[in-house]
Amino acid sequence: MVERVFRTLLGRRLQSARDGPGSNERKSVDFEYHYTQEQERFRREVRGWLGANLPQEVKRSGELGSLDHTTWEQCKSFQRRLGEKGWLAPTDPVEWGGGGLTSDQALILREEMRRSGLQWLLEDGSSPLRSALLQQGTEEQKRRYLPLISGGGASLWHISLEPGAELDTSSLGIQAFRDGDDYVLNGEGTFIGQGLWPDYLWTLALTDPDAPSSQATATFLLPAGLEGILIQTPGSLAPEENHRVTFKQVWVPPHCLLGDDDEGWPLMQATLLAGPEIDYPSDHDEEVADLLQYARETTLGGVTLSKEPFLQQLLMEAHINSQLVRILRKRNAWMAATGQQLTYHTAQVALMEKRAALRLSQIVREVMGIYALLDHEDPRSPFHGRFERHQRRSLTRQNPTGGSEVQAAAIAKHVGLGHWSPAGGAPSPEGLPMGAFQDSSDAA
Amino acid sequence: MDLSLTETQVMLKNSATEVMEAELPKQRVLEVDQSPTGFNQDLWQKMCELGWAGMVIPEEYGGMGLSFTDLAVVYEVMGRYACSTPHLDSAVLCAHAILEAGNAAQKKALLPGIVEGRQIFSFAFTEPEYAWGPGAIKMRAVLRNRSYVLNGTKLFIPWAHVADQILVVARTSDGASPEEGISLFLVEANARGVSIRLQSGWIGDKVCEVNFDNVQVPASNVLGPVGGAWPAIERAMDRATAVLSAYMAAGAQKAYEMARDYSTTRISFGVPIGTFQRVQDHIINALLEADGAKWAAFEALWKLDEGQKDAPVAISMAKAAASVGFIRACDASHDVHAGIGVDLEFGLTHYTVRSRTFEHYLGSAIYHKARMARLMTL
Repeated sequence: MVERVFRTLLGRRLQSARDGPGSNERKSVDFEYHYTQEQERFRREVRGWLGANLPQEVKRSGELGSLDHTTWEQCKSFQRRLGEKGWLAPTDPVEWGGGGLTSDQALILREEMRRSGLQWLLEDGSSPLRSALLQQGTEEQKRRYLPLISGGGASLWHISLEPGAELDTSSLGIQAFRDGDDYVLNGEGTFIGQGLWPDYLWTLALTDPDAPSSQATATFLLPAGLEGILIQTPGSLAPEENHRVTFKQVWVPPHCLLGDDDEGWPLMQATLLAGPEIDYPSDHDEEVADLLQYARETTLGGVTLSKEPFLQQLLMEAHINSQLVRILRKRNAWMAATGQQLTYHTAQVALMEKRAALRLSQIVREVMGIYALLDHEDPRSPFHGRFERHQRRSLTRQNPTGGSEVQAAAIAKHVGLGHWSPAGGAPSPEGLPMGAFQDSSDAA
Repeated sequence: MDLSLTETQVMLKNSATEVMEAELPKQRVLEVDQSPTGFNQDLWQKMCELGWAGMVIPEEYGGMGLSFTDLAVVYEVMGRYACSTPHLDSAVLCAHAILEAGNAAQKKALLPGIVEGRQIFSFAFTEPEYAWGPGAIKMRAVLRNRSYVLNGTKLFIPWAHVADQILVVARTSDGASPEEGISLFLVEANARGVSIRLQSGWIGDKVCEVNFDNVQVPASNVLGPVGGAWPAIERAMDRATAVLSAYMAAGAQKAYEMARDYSTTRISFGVPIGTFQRVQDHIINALLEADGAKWAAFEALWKLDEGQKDAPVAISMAKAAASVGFIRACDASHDVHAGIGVDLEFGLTHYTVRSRTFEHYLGSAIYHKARMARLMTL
């Protein structure tokens, strides 16, 4: 057996030598991104268009967190221009308002959007919603919603769910009961979305409290203005990130149901929780880069911070944490691109990102001291208050719905720890699952 | 050995709890924090009426002459209720700087006003190059015609925007060591050339930028020896640091208790989340931090009250433990609370923001560990 393996390897090597340096066979693993000429041409096109059309106010908006009405309108206007080009739904069919681009081009588009500080415009949940509509939507729903969403003409908020989480139906605060052809929604949930107000809400609701969780939920796309819907943005460390939506006897017509009324959770898993599209993570972590720059440019007692051995240790720890997340995201992108099944991997990266963010917030305070707490309104705040926002968001993003335990529990399940029922039954307490949902109503 | 509270301390604790319970429900904390000045005038007046502003000021100046441990018992209650007032800066730090550095006339003139709450004092130490050792004092005071002229900027100065008087630490000369050449000046907050700007950020107690533009200070407003005020300033800062550590430890304790209580009521997958071992880990970690910070603070306070030689080391250790422990306890509590924890009305963030703010005030853990190493002649 061993001899056969070696003979095969030797044969390949000899063949490679005969083929010369032009041989296509790889010598080893390759971590470098390779772009085709077409991708580079498309990059120039995108970069040129953004350079000519991106308003300065919109470019800065991603840095601010909370947007005022004027800036939000400018963002929406620019979003509609992106929609006209098909760039909000780059790979969707043109007939549904998409750009009809290849996945190679879409990758370039995402990179350039990120480079221009616009990634947040692509992270409003519309991409997984389009995917859900294309998978499970009726023809009428596709006609009604896809051009609207792809054109940037509708603001969408979606229910807050954690990547890698299991569904805890006891924590899902929204119920939907059938009444004739309609559904009636009651309850409360936390929603994520951009802007001051949504046009549509995409939610998951419990349809049968007694059924197994996988068969007990439905997902709805409904106008936010329906009678009985109350939207509040509670005071929070990052108020722009989470909203509380209450449903009180909300009558929802059947065309708002996506898929069947016992398929909500699987559909959410396949779309909203499926993780990002194939994406090459950027080598550049702006927060860490800014921190290093601050340390290089700031002196304390005549000593440059970056030359202080103790701070060097912390700065390099922050850099390493950031790079490890990048490398694992790269691994995930490679796995997804080559059709490999991601199991614990998504949750692992999410957990590492959370921990790295929290640790970075600590290191920032060590390096910058109290300057880290000054916001963008203070003229002495470094980097326009970026690190003050990071201080708050490192907490809000640490625990958006179920705490970092959600990812830890998902990893434990996938690597076979604890007593987990593969059939999807209720896990034992020792199985360590945490709720996929955080019902804010139990604050009292 | 008896670590229990004395009868007096139990009375102080009960009385302080009654006041906080009545005056500072968690909703009120949020209202005050979000108000432009961050100053709860009603509560401040109430505290002064009860004599809290004179607790550690000698009776001859109208105070109660109690120990720092007595005061820390009240500070623990204040910490539990996330109470923000100028008390630490005015009635502890500045009052003791005056006690340590001032002459008899200055003490007599200034301290009763602090005790009665008629005068709020702010302590202007830190500068744009934010640090707490004597080497951090760069601002100059120059003698001209029997007056000192102050020029420069003080940053992150608590409560300067509501202060009547500011104690300014400035350098009048360069010496062989950073401690030499430091002087302490009394400056009226509305003196010509003084400008005060409230700073903006995620900060628990309001802080200010105070600019001094050719501010004239008569020589009679110098406290302590010109160029030799550092030892007095350091003693005053030590006392305030010990008391602040007790406040922070109590905040950590509250964050722990909130996590513990929430874990028994929050149900997930049909059971309280406190039954999950990973959740238990967070709660236990918070408890370890809170207890460590509390007892380090109280041992330091005891050494301070007893006048023990190694009190400064114990105080630095207490502040290092409190700076780290308060933050860790809050972070652990957030881990347990998840989304609800960042809701401002829920109350946990009252402690989180203070853990970040006081981490640096009067010296971070890094500063105090370095100070310990120096004091222990490592």
